[in-house]
Amino acid sequence: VLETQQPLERRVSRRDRTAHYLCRINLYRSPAGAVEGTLVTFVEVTSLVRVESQQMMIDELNHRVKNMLAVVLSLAAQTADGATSLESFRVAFGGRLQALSTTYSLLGQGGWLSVDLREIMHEELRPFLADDGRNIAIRGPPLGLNANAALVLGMVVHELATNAVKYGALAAPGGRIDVRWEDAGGRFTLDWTESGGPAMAAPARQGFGLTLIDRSIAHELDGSASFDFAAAGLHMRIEAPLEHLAYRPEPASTQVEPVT
Amino acid sequence: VNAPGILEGRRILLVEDQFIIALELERVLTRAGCVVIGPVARLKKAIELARLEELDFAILDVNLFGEKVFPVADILQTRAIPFLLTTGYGEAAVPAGRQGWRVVSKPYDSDKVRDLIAAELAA
Repeated sequence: VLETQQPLERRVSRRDRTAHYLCRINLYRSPAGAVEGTLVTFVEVTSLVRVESQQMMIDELNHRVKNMLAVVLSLAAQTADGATSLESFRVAFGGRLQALSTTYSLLGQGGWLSVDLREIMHEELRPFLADDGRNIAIRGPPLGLNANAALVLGMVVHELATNAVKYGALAAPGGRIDVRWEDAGGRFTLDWTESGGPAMAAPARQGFGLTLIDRSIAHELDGSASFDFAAAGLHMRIEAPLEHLAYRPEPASTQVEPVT
Repeated sequence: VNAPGILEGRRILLVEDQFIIALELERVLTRAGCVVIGPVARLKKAIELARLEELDFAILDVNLFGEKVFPVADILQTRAIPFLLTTGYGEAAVPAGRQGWRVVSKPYDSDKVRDLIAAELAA
């Protein structure tokens, strides 16, 4: 301040962020106008900062709720577009909403930041698991997903499992699904392999479920999904760059910030 | 509002990071005869398309995985291509100094957005 002859203002916080101050450094002048030093003042603004951050949280919550409602609205419209009856709409829409809700619950437990892929698999596939647990097997390394990838993959797994119940390995007793994933060399691959179900043929028309899978992987994860409708059972492979899936913690914010 | 065929063959850029929302808008617009460019979810890709593609209109989601879509809007404005912003933050999402930008609040009805585009293009 002495060097530049300019006053300075900074917001400073106690290390544990429980108190906040506005710090000003002004020139201290004699009545004749000569600079005799600096005057440093601290004004406590803790309660102001608290209200501010509360308002930010409310705004963010508001935004998330509206976004979620927009997703639900779109999901309803598209499910209705492919539905053959009100009952089939109710079942398909209910299942998709439940799948979304499952992922949101897991995200909530992880502080809205990250969920492990294994947990997504467990929770989304649990409703489809047979009593003896032999119809589904998963294998893959721990992988912390970001919130968006968790929502996409949760939805994808739900659509695949629903499809398997209708037409694939889970449509007959003795059928089996193997899910494997790996994250080698910055690339994520997931294989979904069905066996022991009724003979499969590629669907005549790609329904919303399959569209959702292959387009969501391309759109949100910059990856690809390939389907092989072999007679022995469906094999589907997802590939995507790991950087778009993995959770990356944001750098911690600084303690002192200029006031604007 | 809906002059028949006003949307036919129109090239609409679709920028939206929520896939399910993008897919629904795409379905409605394609059915109305539009050619959908995208949908794209990431700012970098959206900027590329906004610079290069021949476009009649654009739908821009304000928040793309935490990044703001405004650079895309600036490019479109320079090219005199009309656009709509969509957001869950409401009108407050538009930065100061760009009051002319139109905002549609989420959640929205895709059919209404389609009709808004038709009205803008007819004007």
